[in-house]
Amino acid sequence: MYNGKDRAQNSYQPMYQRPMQVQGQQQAQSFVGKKNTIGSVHGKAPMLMANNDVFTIGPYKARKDRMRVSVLEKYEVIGYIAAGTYGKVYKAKRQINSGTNSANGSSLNGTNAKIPQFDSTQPKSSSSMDMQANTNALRRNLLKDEGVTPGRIRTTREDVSPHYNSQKQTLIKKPLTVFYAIKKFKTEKDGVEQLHYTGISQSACREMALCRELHNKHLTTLVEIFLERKCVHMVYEYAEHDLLQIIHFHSHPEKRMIPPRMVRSIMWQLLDGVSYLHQNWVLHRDLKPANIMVTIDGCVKIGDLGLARKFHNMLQTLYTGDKVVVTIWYRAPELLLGARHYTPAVDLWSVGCIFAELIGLQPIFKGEEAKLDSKKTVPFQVNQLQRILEVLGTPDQKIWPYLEKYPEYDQITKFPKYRDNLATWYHSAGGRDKHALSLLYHLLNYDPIKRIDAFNALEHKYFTESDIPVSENVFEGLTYKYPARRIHTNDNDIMNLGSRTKNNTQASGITAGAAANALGGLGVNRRILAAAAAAAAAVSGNNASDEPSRKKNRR
Amino acid sequence: MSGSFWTSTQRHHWQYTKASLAKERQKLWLLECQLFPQGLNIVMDSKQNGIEQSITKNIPITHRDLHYDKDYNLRIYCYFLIMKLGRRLNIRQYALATAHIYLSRFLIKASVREINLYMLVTTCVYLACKVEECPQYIRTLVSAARTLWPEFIPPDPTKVTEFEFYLLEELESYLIVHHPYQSLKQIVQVLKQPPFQITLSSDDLQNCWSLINDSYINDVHLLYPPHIIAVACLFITISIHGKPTKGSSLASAASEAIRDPKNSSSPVQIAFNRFMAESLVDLEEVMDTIQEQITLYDHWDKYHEQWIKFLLHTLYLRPASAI
Repeated sequence: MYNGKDRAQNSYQPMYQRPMQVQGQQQAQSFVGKKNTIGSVHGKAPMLMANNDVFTIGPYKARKDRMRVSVLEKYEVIGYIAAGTYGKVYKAKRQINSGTNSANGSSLNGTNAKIPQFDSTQPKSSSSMDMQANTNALRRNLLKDEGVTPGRIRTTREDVSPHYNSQKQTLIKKPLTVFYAIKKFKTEKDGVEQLHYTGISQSACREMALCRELHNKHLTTLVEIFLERKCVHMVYEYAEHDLLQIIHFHSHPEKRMIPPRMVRSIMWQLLDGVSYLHQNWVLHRDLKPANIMVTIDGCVKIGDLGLARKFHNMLQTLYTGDKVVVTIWYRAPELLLGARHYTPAVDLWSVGCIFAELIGLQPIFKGEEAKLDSKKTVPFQVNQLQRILEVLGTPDQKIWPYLEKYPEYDQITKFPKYRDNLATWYHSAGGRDKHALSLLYHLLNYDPIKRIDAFNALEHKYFTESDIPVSENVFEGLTYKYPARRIHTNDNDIMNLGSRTKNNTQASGITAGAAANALGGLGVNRRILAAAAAAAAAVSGNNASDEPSRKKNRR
Repeated sequence: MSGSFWTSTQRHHWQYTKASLAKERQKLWLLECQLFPQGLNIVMDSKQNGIEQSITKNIPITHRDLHYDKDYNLRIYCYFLIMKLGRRLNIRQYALATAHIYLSRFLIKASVREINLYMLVTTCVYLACKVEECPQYIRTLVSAARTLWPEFIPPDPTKVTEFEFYLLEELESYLIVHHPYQSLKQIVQVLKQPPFQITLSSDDLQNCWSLINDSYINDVHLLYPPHIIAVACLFITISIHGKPTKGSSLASAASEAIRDPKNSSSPVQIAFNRFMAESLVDLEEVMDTIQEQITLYDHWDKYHEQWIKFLLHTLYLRPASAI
């Protein structure tokens, strides 16, 4: 019975590729041809072959493929920013002919420019259906653009009209081009051109679903999504800096503290973003310096929602979904103790770690990740917990009433008793602000129930009782500039069209791949493991290789 | 936003008015007329004067059959398809409801005739499970779908993952949806308190839950906020409360109950009416939802599964004689 179908699959290949390659005339032909096929299938004339359209949904795909606008038609890829197990992030700008960069800009010019673009990409078709479909798609694009206006208009305006520049930003001499970061999700396998659709990953699915829904000044703004060539491409507004980069700038070649005022502004904006996420019932679960972006005009943006999930009305427990969450150094103690259920407090622990890192210029709990054993059980992270205990002291039931209930409680009794050293740590790191220390204590509270939440953290004295108010521009008052993001221009081949160039993150890719393979179908998040593997490698490399660790960690 | 319906993309991007929905559908109608002007030829066996013969009939494209917006047979059938697949894999109703929303959204933009409905159902369930954080293994899902509909689901799971991309494209990647189940829970809590003091029995709640499940067959989820649907279903539940529904159909029970003047004087109904008045819900929308639901059950009484199955077989499969 399935012979027929096998044949159908064989003939499917050319059927499918045709609409992607040929131009207008031929497409119109295939269109007519399709009609005939259907007619005869339904008609009396018996066909020898199974109706392969049913399995391949050929006609529908052809209709959609004809209308699709490529990411390359709208954006010009400059180079790649970072690569990881999830895929690759590219820096891009709008194609010149597709608007926004033109001189007589308004917020609408992007759409004006789209009309001719559509004409050029659409095959000429006489049927009114196609025209309608076109306008439909066009309108949808307009809507899409409107959806992202808040952030975009602002940048566009600064970019386009000279008055705005002269008004407030004397630093910028030449008009800026608006840049974008395009995140391309890798589908399962490493390799050259993707041969099959592998199904979008849970991580891509989360990021798409949540980024579409969430809009906040302190989250990276999603501009649009392209589904093309079996890959998901998410276009974000570009951010020139991230906290990892800024911390690195201050710690190399020798340590120079980040101005306390800047730290405060960063923390406020970061907490504001986290508060927004939590109010929308979203856990981020991967907060770390590399995921906190800062735009050129000093606005903090939380990025990478690939591990984020709604914790409202859950069908499955958090633990069932992902066995391991949060990059090891930023992982909350309740997670280390094997909590099956956890709360937004895990994000605030991470925020606390980031705060400490902004002050001390290196990860406060730089533990070594325990590798997975052959039994594929999630290992207990001895070293990471050790690092926490050394700074914060050994917790007991007085400060953490539910401590005994955690699955890994027994482990904690094996450690020697440590005393709380956070104040000493803070002063030796050069901290002078008692309110800062107090907030740090609240964020790094062992008990997740007592740990301060984002909303209350924003009201903390650290922010309210200060001579200098929190600034919307974290760079305000600085006399120097941070170096721009390094772009690897040797690879801007987002579509994998040409030969693949070898990149220098290959090593980390291999580690990550090995870790992921070792896990198989466990349901442990691969990205976390990969980052952890990189982190572990960096630690064992004993800081001599600080540079590569940074690169790997960047993800 | 994912925290609230009021700021959600469901409201701002995917909520239609009756007029705008009709307009979208008109577009699809024109498209279908252009793509499939020849309609559908069906071969029927009939007995005339004792002689068996098959007659070929043509269903013109303008006939309501197989147009999702007009064909209740098809709508109800889709509902059963999703349920069947869901039951097989023990998927939670919440995820299935999400899948159903995806299906209805998709079928505003594309015709049943140009896709494979069974694949669409499988793909919607696959994606909805991911979004609702209870992911299914693609192979498990496809093999379950194949046991249910072997002639329509190809063994190759990449066909589903490929379709997923097209589904995402039609949905424009707006994936988070809000359902009335949550509103129902909240309303039930409020009703328990004074001044209403209505406590619904678990049977009533189960009924209401089922009514909500059924409401996905209608367009109401494309038109109204979830709480409207929850209120409407609660209203029906309370109206038919205590009425024997076994013999007569739910449709007639509901419409009778609502028309019965005596009914409106029951204390529970009065209290609920007061709740509706005080909660400032849009009563017109509630009434329309109730009306839609009653119409649905009218159609359900006439539901003819064999017919829709036959049509889909003819549409998707080569004629039996050619095998």
